[in-house]
Amino acid sequence: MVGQFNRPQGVRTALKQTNLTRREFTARGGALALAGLVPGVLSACGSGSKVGDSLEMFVSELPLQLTGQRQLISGAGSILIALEPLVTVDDKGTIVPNLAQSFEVVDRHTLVFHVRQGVRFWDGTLLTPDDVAFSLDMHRTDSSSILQRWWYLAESVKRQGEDRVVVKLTQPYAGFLYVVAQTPIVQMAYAKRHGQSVGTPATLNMGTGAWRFKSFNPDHSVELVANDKYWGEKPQYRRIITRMAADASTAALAIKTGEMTGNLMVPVAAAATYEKLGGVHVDRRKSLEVCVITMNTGYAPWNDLHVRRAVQHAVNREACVQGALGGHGQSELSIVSEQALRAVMPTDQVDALLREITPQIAFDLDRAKAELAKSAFPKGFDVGTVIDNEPEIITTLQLIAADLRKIGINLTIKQAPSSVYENQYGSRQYSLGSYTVHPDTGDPLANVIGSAFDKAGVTKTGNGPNSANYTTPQLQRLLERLRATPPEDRAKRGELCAELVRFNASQALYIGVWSPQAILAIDDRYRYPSYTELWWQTRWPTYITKG
Amino acid sequence: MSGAEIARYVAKRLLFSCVAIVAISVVVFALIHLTPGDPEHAVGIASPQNATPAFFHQLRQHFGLDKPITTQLLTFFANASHLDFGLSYRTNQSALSLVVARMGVTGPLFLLSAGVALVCGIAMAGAAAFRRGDAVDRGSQNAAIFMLSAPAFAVGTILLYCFAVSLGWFPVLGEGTGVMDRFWHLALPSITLGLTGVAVIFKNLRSHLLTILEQDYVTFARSRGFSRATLLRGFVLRNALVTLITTTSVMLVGFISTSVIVEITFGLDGVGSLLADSILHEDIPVVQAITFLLALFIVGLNLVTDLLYFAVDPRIRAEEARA
Repeated sequence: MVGQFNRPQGVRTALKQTNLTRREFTARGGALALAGLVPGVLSACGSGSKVGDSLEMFVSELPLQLTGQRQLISGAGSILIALEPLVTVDDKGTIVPNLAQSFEVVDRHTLVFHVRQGVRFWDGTLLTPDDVAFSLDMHRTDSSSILQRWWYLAESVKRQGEDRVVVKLTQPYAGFLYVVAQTPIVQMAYAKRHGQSVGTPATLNMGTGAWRFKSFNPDHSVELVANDKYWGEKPQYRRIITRMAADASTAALAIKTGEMTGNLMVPVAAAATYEKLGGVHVDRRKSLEVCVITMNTGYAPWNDLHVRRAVQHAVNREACVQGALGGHGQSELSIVSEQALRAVMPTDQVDALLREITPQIAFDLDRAKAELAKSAFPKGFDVGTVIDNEPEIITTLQLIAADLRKIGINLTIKQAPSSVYENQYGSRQYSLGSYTVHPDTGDPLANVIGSAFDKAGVTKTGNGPNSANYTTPQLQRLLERLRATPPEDRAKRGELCAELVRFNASQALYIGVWSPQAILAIDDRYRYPSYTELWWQTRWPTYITKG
Repeated sequence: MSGAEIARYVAKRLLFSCVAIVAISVVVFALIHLTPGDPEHAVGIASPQNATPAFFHQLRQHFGLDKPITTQLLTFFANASHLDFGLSYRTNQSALSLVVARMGVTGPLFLLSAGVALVCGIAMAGAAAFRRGDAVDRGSQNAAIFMLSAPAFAVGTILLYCFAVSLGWFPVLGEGTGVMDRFWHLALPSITLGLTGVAVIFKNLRSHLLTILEQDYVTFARSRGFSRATLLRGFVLRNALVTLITTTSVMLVGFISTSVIVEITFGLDGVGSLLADSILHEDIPVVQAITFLLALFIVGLNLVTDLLYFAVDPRIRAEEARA
């Protein structure tokens, strides 16, 4: 009873009204106090969102091994800032010396690199021309290396004298420097010591870059820390993490809360999510990537030019840009994007070229019907296509299928896992195909210079690099002349490229549909003004600024 | 039942478990190989323009996929007998160590989720059973239906938005390092996964508790003036333990599939997300290692469940002894 006199009036009333015992009252009060305390404690536990020394970026691809042999295209972005290449691409897209002090294009078959002196690996040992020759030759000789799709063009890689490495090409390819720019240089001794295990989480790798590997979780993240003894400009960020983007909305929320700095490859479908969040800066750029429709000319009905032309006229590109990309892209007329054409040709020539090929390509179902009527299949036919988990392409195919049906072509779309898609693509059953083609060397014309028109890419099964399975001596000569023309000779390069684009349009081999925007989402307190889809080929962290 | 009888019972169960694990491994091996498509086409290729037939040929040789299927199966069993599942096709790491490393995330996630599910599920079922038909009962039942039917990714995203973005109490992403940091990072995923378990426990336990509450011995205990808490602890829950153990084991098995979604939603680097990736990319050694460990987990869980029956219910002990 004495206790009751000491209690405040409010508490007494509360006890009376709710019939609580003293113990129950204390327990409930304690619980309420705890509930009030928890948010504060938890908030204090948080790392907060402050602009710091760390750059944590979402990426769409990561390497499977830290060697340069096993990664998809942009997966190289996590490797090349640590295992530096001989030459690199600057923020304007120009090739500049890096681990090579200088380089010379001696003739159409020979490249000479003068290895920079005094550069040290992270373990303190000096970089030698032997390390360089070993690193380059690895991709030339290992057919399981993803870079071999370009290094097969090299006949030999040899050390010459004290500081030179000479690369001899089997056939002229003036854009080969772009390939060198995505070939990592590693320490020969380390690679030989660790053999097959090099590049795995237990045995990372040894390079010379401004950031060295700290941890690696394949398919998940790469963590790098600053190399204070770097030979060049000291690294601006102490720590860099590249991480696979999780669920789209989770990734966006992580940037909003400051847990992650940005997303270097925002899928077009997720762009709106980032914009609505606030506190996240979204940058859009035109890209060189092109979604194309291919038809395996090794099989009927695609060996009939009129059929291919009918399909070319039945593709409603504007509808596909709206339907598949939500408007975040532009329609394309060829396998080379308009952006790429403008990078290698004067504006008036590009405009003239596009005007010239438009009538052969423009969406026109009447002309499509007329072309089909001229073919061996005037009443139409049934055909199949296989596609993996690519929502934008699936929507594109559905839109195209709806228009094809109007002219009598029944296109069946089969969705399948990547392994099935890669295997059955272009087969007799799925002879119409669709994919996005990337400029995987950094050369704007890589989409045409690659294997798309090369006789070496023709296969019996139809799922080789030349998906159209089309080659003629005339086309091969044109391709080789284009490859041999140095990027500095803009006039000739532009002329040959235009010729190839015209040829492609007249033969309806690769039907361009759309080009998606390259989209960057970044914490509002950071900026990346020189961002392009080819960020992965540059020393990208140095171009991201704070404040 | 004597110690020797229990040991014999365990030995018998272990023998059956080994047979089950071998059978599961063969079935998984066969299913993966029957799936259309070839694993080498799923390894590190972006588009048909990026790889040549020579590239695929070398990969097939490298992974031993060019050998006859029976040779591959025999090699698998020879290696699996000493827990060697080979190297991951994609990452070149030991498949088993890859899975074991991920257990550091999925293990705590399961434990915390089970904790959430048991505490909330028992509390809700107890409250609903004691207040049968009133607002608490009806509210709990509706909540359980919501928990059972709401997709885990939606619940996860809502929790993320409320507690991580708006209030800033929890992190959005990742699994954290160190014990406390990991606990903090796993809080929201555990609640998301645990909520599915709450519903399972509530649904099973409530109906069983209602049956027990109608028993004479409970009525008699009530008449002696025992408090609700004492009744629940001493008379009701004790008799509901067998149901609780069974439901918990079913719930833990159910967590395996739901955890895949939860791990993807919260960007957790756990076994579930690894399994999803490995199936998608036909990374056979990793799929084999995970299914083997999962089979081991389920078989072990069943064994523990059976042994717990013995421990908590003397009637089962007596029945088994008679048998």
